[in-house]
Amino acid sequence: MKHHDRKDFEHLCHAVLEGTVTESELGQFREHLRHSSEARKAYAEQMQIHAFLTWQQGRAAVPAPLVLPSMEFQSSSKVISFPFGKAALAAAAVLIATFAFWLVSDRNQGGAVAVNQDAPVAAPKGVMVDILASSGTPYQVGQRVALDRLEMSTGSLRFRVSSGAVVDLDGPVSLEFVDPMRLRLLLGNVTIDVGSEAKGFVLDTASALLLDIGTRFGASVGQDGSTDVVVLDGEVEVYRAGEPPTQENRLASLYEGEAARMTSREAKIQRLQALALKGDRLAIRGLNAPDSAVITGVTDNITKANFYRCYTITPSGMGEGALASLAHRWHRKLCWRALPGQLFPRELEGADVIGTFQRQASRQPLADINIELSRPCAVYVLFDSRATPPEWLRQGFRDTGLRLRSGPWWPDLVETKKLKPDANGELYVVHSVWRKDVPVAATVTLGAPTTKSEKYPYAMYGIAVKPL
Amino acid sequence: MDRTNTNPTGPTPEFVQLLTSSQSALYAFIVSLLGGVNDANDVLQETNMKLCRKCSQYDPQQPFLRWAYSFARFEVLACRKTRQRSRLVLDDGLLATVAAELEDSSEETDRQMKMLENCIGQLKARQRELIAARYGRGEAVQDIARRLSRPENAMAALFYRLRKLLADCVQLLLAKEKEVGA
Repeated sequence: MKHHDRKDFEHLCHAVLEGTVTESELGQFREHLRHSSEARKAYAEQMQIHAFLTWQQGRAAVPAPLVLPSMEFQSSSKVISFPFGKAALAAAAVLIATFAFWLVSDRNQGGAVAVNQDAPVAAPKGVMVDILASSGTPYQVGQRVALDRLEMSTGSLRFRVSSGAVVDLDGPVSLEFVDPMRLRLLLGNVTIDVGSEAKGFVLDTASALLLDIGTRFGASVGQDGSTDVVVLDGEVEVYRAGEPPTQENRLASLYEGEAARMTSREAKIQRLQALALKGDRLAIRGLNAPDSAVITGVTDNITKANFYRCYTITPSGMGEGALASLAHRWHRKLCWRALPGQLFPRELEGADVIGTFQRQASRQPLADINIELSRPCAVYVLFDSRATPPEWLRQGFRDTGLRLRSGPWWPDLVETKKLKPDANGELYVVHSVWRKDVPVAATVTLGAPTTKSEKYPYAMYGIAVKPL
Repeated sequence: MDRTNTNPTGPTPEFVQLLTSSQSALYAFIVSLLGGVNDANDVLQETNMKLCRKCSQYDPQQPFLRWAYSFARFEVLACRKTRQRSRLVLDDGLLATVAAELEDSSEETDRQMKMLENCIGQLKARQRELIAARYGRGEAVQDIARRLSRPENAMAALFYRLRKLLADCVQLLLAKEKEVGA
């Protein structure tokens, strides 16, 4: 293609991809494709990357992998026959949302498994929402609907409320729309991105009132009415349920990287030590889904009052860009990345990632971290390669020789003072990857990155777990 | 809609695994043939169901994606019948040509998503922010341009270049991976 043609083609291709192309432009575009293999190649390339990015960022709304409990899938509706053998069940779980009706149509084989096939139900009047993503629900992307209650047993949905707040949710969920600035979560998980337009957004549950003051947060309500809340960005104030959100009624202000649980409206607010997230968009998996197929719990021995930092578990999430640490005040959200010019180590890809938190060794108390494993696993510790590995790491683990980096870090932190920026001007810490095989289901205890008496101007270690 | 299950025993775990790992590649194939993401989810779901029904016809010795693409292509054709012809991005002849070219390059598609993540990690922070705005938060390109006080045409060209940059990076990493594996 000549330069002028190429510019013309690029303009047309972009318009096609964004859906803004006119009929006459479409005609010109087809002419390009008909007469130039270079144009067809460029079109395929642009469309493919556009599709992958749409998919990767979750807007494709095709089911994100679901990790279902190994037990039977509970139902409030009829019991149907499952066409797969039990051995196939786990592998099939990721496709259940897509194939719900197909499964329902087969009633003649295999063991009985209950599948809830209730369609989401919504009343015609209520709060206006724009559907941004939809999977396994009757709503279409781009649709505008008025909702006052949403009951969804399966599937997932993302919508923007007219106040500007963007809500992600997965079935089973029961949600009431009080007004554009207030929702009531009766059961299930929601992740709400309030952005700058909907500060003051309120989420009510049976045990708490969550006042969002410009943030992204996840909340989960269990069958017993207890509420988990995690702040992914910004700040959320937690109040006792049913009481006005005044200073006296405030139980806690939670900042990004912090999580808490309220078991009832009378109960004390508790630190939630670990919770599971899913995908790049950091949505809460919540009380109604298992954390992971291999990690049944992560705890530490920190007993400090008003301390709400949490560990995150991202099942099968290890790979380029995986969450290493949630943002918290002066720390950015940190991700795991391959070293420049290298591929992400395949040995680690797909492992469950445990996000830890920084300043563990300096301003925050030193802690042992206990990881409960449900099956034989390889446990990886990703240790700041600038620091001296502690005794427990050298004795119990072996250095695999693999290297990863965490970042990007803000400059001028105690951890980054001596770091040099990479080619893009960003700061990354290199971590060595240590491995220990745990041959049975067990609790593994990881020590502090250093002893109490030493200063530790380095990054906190990261953790990954992969079944053997 | 055809609900006949031609495979009474259902898909094997291996088949489901193949299908699961091919979802992003199938989605990209469908988007390319439709000329955009509209209706792509529905077509993918229809394709998935057809593939499951016909799973007994799959020969594990053959490349899975190539086999699956033929079903996706059929579902795209079915979807096009419901659309106004003048709004179809590809006419019938072009669709056949583009589909054939995509099918020929299908072997590595399942690794491309992983590589893409790696490549996004290598972008500059400002470029990553643009990707996050357009694809993560769903902002329209014209809104991003307005927010950043840039002409819309310049922003459109920037996004074109960004996608090109990512496509080149993915190809480079795939080639590098082949070298390592060789």
